[in-house]
Order: sequence, then C-alpha cells, then structure tokens
Amino acid sequence: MKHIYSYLWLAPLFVLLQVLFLNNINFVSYINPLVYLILIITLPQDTEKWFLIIYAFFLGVLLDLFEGNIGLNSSSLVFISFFKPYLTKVLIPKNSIDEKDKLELKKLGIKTFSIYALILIFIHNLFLFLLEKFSFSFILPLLLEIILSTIITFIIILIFQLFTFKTKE
Amino acid sequence: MRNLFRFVKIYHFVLLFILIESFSLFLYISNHKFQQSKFLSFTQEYTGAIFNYYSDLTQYLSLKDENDSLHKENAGLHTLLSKESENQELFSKYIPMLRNDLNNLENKRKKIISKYSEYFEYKKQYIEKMLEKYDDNLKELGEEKALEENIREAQKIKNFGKWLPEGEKDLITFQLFDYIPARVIKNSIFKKNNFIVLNKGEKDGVKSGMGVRVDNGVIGIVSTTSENFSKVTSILNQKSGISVMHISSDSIKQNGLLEWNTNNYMTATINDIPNHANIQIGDTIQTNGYSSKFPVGINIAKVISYTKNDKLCKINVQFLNDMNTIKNVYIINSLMKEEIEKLEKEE
Repeated sequence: MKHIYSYLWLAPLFVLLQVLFLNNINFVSYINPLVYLILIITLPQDTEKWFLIIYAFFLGVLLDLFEGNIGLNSSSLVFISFFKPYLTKVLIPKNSIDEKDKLELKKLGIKTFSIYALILIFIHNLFLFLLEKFSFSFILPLLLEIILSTIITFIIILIFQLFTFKTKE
Repeated sequence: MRNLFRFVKIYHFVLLFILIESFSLFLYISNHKFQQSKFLSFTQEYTGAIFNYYSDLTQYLSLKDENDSLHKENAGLHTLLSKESENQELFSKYIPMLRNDLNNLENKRKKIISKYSEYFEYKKQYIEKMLEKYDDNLKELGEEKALEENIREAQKIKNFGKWLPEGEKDLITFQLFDYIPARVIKNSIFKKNNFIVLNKGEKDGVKSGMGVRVDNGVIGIVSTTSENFSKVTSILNQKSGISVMHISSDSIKQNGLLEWNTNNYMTATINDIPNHANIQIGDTIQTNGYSSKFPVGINIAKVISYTKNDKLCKINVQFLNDMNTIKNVYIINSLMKEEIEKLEKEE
C-alpha cells in the first residue's frame, strides 16, 4: 500500500514530463517514447484490480487533456491494464518474487522484465496507433511505426530502471 | 438477487474494464463536437497555462530564428509602406472624385424627395378631384354608376411605379480584416488530427471560427476558446479543408478544396480541380477568400505532382510554410464575416 501513494503523485509528474519534453523529442523523425507506461508496468502484483483500472483511466485522462483527444490515451491504458494481471500470472514464475514488490528490472531480471515490458508496450502501441491513425493505405508504415515506437519506449524505460537500480544499491 | 451480487463480485474486474473501456471509447469516437468542446474549453484554461509557462521558458532557444523572421517581415512591411506613399498620390486624386460622387448622391436624394412630394401633391389633388367628380356623378347617375365610374378612373393611375426614380448601382464593396497577433504554445504535426494552442483567447477578442495565418501560409481555424487561450484545428487535420485556387502560368484561376490526408506534414492534396486546367509543377496555390475567414491571395503551397483522370485532376502540393517551426501567428478577425454568413444562411 505504501507504493501506491507514491504512484498517485508520480502520475501527474510523468504526464508533465511526457507532454512538455518527450512529445517534443522525435526519434527517427517522428517517434515519441511513451515513458508514462512505466507506471502501469511496475505496479506491484498485489495491487487491487479495480485500483489498477481506475488508475490507468485517470492517467489516460490527464494525458488526453493535454494532447487534446479525449478518450484516446485513456482507452488504450485501460486496455493494457486489463491484460496486465493475466500477463504477470503467465510470465512471472510463482514465488520468484514477493507479491508486494514493484515489477522492476532488479527484481525480475533482465530476461523476464524485457519480455513482460515489451509485450505490454506492444499491445498498448498497437491499440493506440490503430485507434488514432488507422487507414488501409498506410497499414505498413503504421506497423513499422508501432514496432519502432515499442522499441524506443522500451529502451527509455530500461534506462529509467537502470537509474533507480543504481540509486538503491 | 444474491446470485447477481455474487456474479458482480466475482467478475467485478471484467465488468469494470468493459464499463470504463466502452466509456472512454465512446468519448473518443463520438467526441468531435459537443463533449470535446465543452470539456476541453473547461480544462483548456489550466492546461493552456502550463503550456504557456513552458513556452515562455523555451522561446529563448529560438530567439535567433524568430528575430530573422521578424526582420524579414519588417522588410516586407517597409516595401509596402513605400508603395503606400505612391498610393497616397493616387488617393489625393481620388478624394475629389469621391467628394463629387457624394455631392451627386446628395443631389439625387433631394431630387427624389422633391419628386415624392410632387407625387403626393398630385395624388392629393387627384383625390380631391375624384371626390368632386363623385359628388357630381352622384347627382346625375345615382349611387351605383358613380362608383363604377370612379373605379375606372382610379385604375388609370394604379401603376405609380413610374414615379420611382431609376436605381443606379452605387455600391462600394470592401472586405476588412483585423489581425490579432498570437504565439503558438502547443503544436503537433505527426498525429492524424493535429491541433495547436495559442496564447490569445476570448479576452483578446478571439472567437471560434476565425482563421489563423502566418506570412506565407494558412495555419488553421479556431475551434474552441477559453478566457486566455484558444485551440486551433490545424490545417494538418483530417477534418479541415481550406478553400483555395490554383493559378496556372497563364494566370487562369481554378477553385478547389485543399485537404490533408497524407502522412507527411509538408504535403497535402487538392482533389476537385477540373481536368482542363493547365497545371504545371511549381504553380502556386492561393487562398480564394470564399470562406470569408481568410483574405484572398495568401500563397500557401506549390504543386509538386499531379494525376489526371477523366473528369478531375488530383494535385499533390507542398506547403511553403513549415508547420513544425511556427511560433508567431496572426488570428484573422474578418469584420464582414457575420454579414456574409447571415446572407448565406438565408434561402
């Protein structure tokens, strides 16, 4: 429960970071890293499920208010928060970590964390980009964009995780 | 009932997911007019303030470019000013002419008034005459015949249209535009529906529906406003269409609608130029002023390629102005817009 309070004030912080800085940085000319996903990814396994969904919804609404498309980010964040409990059940071996722990790099190890984070980011980007920009004529560039965005977001999240790793050792 | 509660308790996660997901999808899909504008104009004041603060901080980074563009614009204004002084001479010739016209109009007005009073005088006399005649007829012919006689007389002057003076077209048409300078505090170009936030709002006289331009291009149309900020539907938006004209090398103008449905923020398409138009690569595209939101003749884009089918011609154009680098823009207040739109609404 102690972790959850920190997540509450981290949400607006990450939203501001996203809309003020990261949305102005364009990798490969047009790709933004979506770092706020780190909040959903690292939420502990024992978080109440209703809290998870409502938290994802409000994080999305905050982003939408700044980006101007009401419902776009909130629906895609709610979508991945639905998959998260099932995904962690499948990917993370039982008793390998404490249920209260954050799902971080140092707890899960590089292999499990990468697979888990990449799948979650990919589902999110697939949903978000298809909802936002879908058109039949641009389906291939769109897929490329989804994959590139997934990779870049993952790399930035990994860097974030390394920083927290260092400070706590 | 107990079963229902148990069902809700077991599946609360799935139910909550379905509820919230469908709610937010509903917001996204049905967004466009009402909810968006109500909701956003409420929150825009706060998000706008944050963007404004941020743009205050970051604008120092682009001061040099800003300075260059202002310098260029200044030079353009100077040349305009020198042209203006040439025009001044023309005007000095023109003013006596205008005075003359004014005098003529005044004379005409007096003439019309005198003519009308003449007409009323005539009518008064006529009615008096008729009454006398009626009295005479009444004595000679009896009541019925007297009425008939008078009606016949009255029909002779029924057509009093001949008394109205012949109208001349003394119309002076003009269209005036006011410009409100504004700064871009939020801009996006890589989305499907891009929008821009400006640091001027209702307080400065911005209303929804106003056009926004820069020196060499059109930026978009104001969609919602709050007290201090306004949101602009960018030209890079699937929903925006700008009425433009293509100017061929022999200066023949063809009207069309410029739409953005490419993935590239520098190019757009025009689909409804007639097939017979003489199109060449490098021709300019200008606004045609049909929408009354933009003045006529802002250069927007250049033709980069075109394909012709049996009726229409599809043109790909490249914007002259880089939407990624816009900083200072002008909101156009068209003073005649309300009048024109009122006229358009009438059948």
